[in-house]
Amino acid sequence: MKGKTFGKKLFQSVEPYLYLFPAFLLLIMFAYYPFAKNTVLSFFTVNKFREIREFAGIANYIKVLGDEKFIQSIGNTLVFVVVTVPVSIVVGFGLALLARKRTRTSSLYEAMYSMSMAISVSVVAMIFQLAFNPSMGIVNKLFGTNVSWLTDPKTALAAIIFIQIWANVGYNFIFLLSGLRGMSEDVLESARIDGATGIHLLTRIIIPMVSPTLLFLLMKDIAYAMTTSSFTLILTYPVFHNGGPNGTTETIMSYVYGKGIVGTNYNAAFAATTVGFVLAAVMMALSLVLEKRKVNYD
Amino acid sequence: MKKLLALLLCGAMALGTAACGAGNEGKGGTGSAGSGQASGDTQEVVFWHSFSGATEAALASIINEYNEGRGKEKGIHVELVYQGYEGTDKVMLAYQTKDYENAPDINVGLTSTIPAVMDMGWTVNVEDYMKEDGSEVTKDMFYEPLQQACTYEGQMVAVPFSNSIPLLYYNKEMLEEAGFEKAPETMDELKDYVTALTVEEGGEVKRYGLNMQVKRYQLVEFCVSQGEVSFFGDNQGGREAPMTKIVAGDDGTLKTFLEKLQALIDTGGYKYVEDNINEEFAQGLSAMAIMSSSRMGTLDELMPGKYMTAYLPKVNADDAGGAAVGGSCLNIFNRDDDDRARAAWDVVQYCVSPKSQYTFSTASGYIPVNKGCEDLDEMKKYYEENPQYKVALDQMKEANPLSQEPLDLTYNEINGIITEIMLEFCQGNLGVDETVNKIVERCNDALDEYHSVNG
Amino acid sequence: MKKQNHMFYQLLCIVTGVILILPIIYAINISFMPQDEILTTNLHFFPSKAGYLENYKIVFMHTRILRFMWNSLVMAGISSIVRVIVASLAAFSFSFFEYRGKKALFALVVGSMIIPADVLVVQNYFTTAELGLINTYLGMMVVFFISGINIFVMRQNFLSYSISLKEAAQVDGCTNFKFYRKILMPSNIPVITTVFISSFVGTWNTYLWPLLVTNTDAMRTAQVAVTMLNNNEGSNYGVGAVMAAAVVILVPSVAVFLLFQRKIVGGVMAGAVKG
Repeated sequence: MKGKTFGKKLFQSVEPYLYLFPAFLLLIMFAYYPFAKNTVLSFFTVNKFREIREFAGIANYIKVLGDEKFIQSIGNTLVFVVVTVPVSIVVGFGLALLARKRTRTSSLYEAMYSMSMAISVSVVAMIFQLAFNPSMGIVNKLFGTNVSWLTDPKTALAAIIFIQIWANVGYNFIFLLSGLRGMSEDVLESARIDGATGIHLLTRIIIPMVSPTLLFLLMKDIAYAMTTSSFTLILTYPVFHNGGPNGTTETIMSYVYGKGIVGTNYNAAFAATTVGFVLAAVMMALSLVLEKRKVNYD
Repeated sequence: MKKLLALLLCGAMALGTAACGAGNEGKGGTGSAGSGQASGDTQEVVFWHSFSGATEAALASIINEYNEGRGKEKGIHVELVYQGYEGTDKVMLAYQTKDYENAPDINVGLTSTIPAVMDMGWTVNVEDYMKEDGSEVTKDMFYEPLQQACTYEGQMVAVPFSNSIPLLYYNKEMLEEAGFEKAPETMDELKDYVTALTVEEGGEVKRYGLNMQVKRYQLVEFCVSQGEVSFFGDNQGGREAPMTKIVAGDDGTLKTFLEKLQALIDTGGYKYVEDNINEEFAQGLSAMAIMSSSRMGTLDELMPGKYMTAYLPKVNADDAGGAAVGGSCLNIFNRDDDDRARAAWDVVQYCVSPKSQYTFSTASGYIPVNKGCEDLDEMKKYYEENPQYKVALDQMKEANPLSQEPLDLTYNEINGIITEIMLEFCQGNLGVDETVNKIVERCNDALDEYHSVNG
Repeated sequence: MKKQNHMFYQLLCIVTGVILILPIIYAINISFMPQDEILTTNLHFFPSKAGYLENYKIVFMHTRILRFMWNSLVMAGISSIVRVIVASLAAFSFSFFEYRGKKALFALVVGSMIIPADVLVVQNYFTTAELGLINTYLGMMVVFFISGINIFVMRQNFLSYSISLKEAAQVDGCTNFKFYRKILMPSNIPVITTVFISSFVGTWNTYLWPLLVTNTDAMRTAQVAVTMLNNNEGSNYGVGAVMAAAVVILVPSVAVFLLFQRKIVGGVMAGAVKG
């Protein structure tokens, strides 16, 4: 009798950990272990095969933080985050508000709004690479301009930001639509009866009600933007062999890739990764603070 | 309990598919890549490459011929695997993990990776095979510049395979219209041609005289071709011994080239960024372009018969170095199996025979590596019909064999450095001397860092 | 009047949608154009002749795209299913239980969202090699079995799910796992579908990892076909062919998406507040 209850109690206290087990096993093996190894190695001098030569303390960090290209990449990444994240959420939200009411043609335009979610990054890159091509692409032909969008230092980063926003909108839209449709009609009704309309309704009632979704999208988009390198690598590396014209499209991670995989200089790569991680962690922490303050789950 | 079952089910599914995948390999391919053992009597040879399009088709047909003919007689079977540009990286990763199973016998690698590849214990020094009595292929069957391109520390360690040389491409009609009878031969002449061929309309350039972005490839070519012969870096450009610094700054070649380039920039008709160089040239948006000879295949499809090629313009009128040939070579790996390595050598010998080179060269536009190839009747006929390809061959033959691309160890990083600084130069943000200093300094830093860490 | 407004409103929505998917329409159009039409400086949004299929012929004849897509399908499909299971179990734990270290463990999950995948590739290659998984489907998939983002989104979703329902279930004698299986998951189809689809699309077109970890043509994934057509050297099949390949690869992921789209948006977050 007693043994049975003990067993049950034991199971009960262990149960939640059991459910976490598969996820954490994978996370540790394929995310944290390699990452920890990288971080540890960043305090040593390593050769091109990532073998340790000697202890280096913070020498790698000093070198990397003194590299103006790295600082530039941090600047680019921050600009990237500050522009793409709010804009893609606002656009997604706007579309979700537009599409909230069901109509007969709902499925048609809902599908169109969320379509960018179904296209993979590499395909998006290729399409826009052609579209932005100065002589063959549709953008210049349509607007009669002659700008080299992806190779001109003045426009390259803006072009990539535009592409990223387009790619994000679908995903944000779908979530916000779900969130908006999931709002209780009762609450909305009573708010309207109380005289809340328009902006007031939006900011005081609607936004708080979808705040869990907004937070999630914010954090996901920030995480992605802080650690992305895809568009830079696909669109500017083949031409410039580093971050874009005059380094204007180098992100933190494309810098890491350029140093590590391309240049086999893992000393710079590991140190830069850790710095990037710390910056991203700070931004994540800020968002989590936001969660505490502003998000309500009921 | 149920959860456990669910997880097991998942695992089973995954493993089942994995088994399916492995099984498929056995059925679909001709044996999985790693099987080191000869199945029955046939010796398997795995050949990694990074070609696509017509080039790949040509290589596939050569290997097919081999497998059906000579390979059958000798009991050797070759499996071709596409690896993209990551092929050499993968070989190095396999070496680090001592993964003998998942490595190839033959790999197509850029000649610039030769030092790194030779660092691996399992790479074969091909000269050893070539020196043996009765070897079908000997060193002097290859054109001298190609021999030298694959030479490191005094030995010809790899076999040249898909090689190209930079050429000046020009639009025949446009040059005729402007009254030119032949292509420019020096950079000074080039400047005059660009001025004449540029077309402006309303303040905007509608047609550039020349399109060329100066990255490592182009810069190096213009430097080593100067004088009798020049080297970009010390130790004969990194071939006698590992390169430790750039010498193109000290010997003045870099500066001379930049001065000539400045003159080009000043004409206002020189496009110094590449967006889509092939297509723009084909569309008539540029009258001339300087690119590798490997682009001829594409241009033949885009603008057949409308263009012609010429030698790379000389920096100084009395330069004798000639352009450097470059590209890829074949490396052989011996993974503790001498018989297998020899089988691979047999395959390689077949691939560089005159006949095979004819097939490969005409399909891909690469320069045939075997001297015997140009004597073949088919090849002579081909050159008659396609004179633009002969230009590449001739330029290589006339060049000084010592005029070579450097083996600069941190090839990619140097490429990035040069591309970036040259862009600033062309944009007008840096002067000639500043540029020379900056390039030399940053490249030397990169090399220093490499040596301090990789000793 | 109201009807007119209503129709106008729908029209507005549709036009907005069309503008949004212009890049996709553009890609499709290009894939049906011959090279010289693409290369002119004139504006050609729609192909001038219908039915130009050369580009597609090139794609199917010169790459083994169908085989590659099959590999991508296996990889994306299985990884996504596994991800849903792994992520939902973890999210279940985070949202319905109280236990020591919960906050710290969740922080680890959030942390994994900002660990960039690129840096891990080489080390993961070594790990995979040690597990003997080089050149296997499992080896291709194993790094995709987990994603911190998915745990996060499911947790968000579950947290909005009333806890009183669970308590009620428990009173009825339902074990935790049964609750998860029989009540929680079935009523959260929208978020499950979303996680599945975003995982599917994400892994559908990965290039580097599968290429690195496998060594035979038979195991290449879809994106490799596009890369093979997209080179600048040697002979080149033209931009139209590259777009055609992109369109071909696009079709399955869009198809899967449209198939499940109803499920994502169709369902109101059942039980979210009403409980």
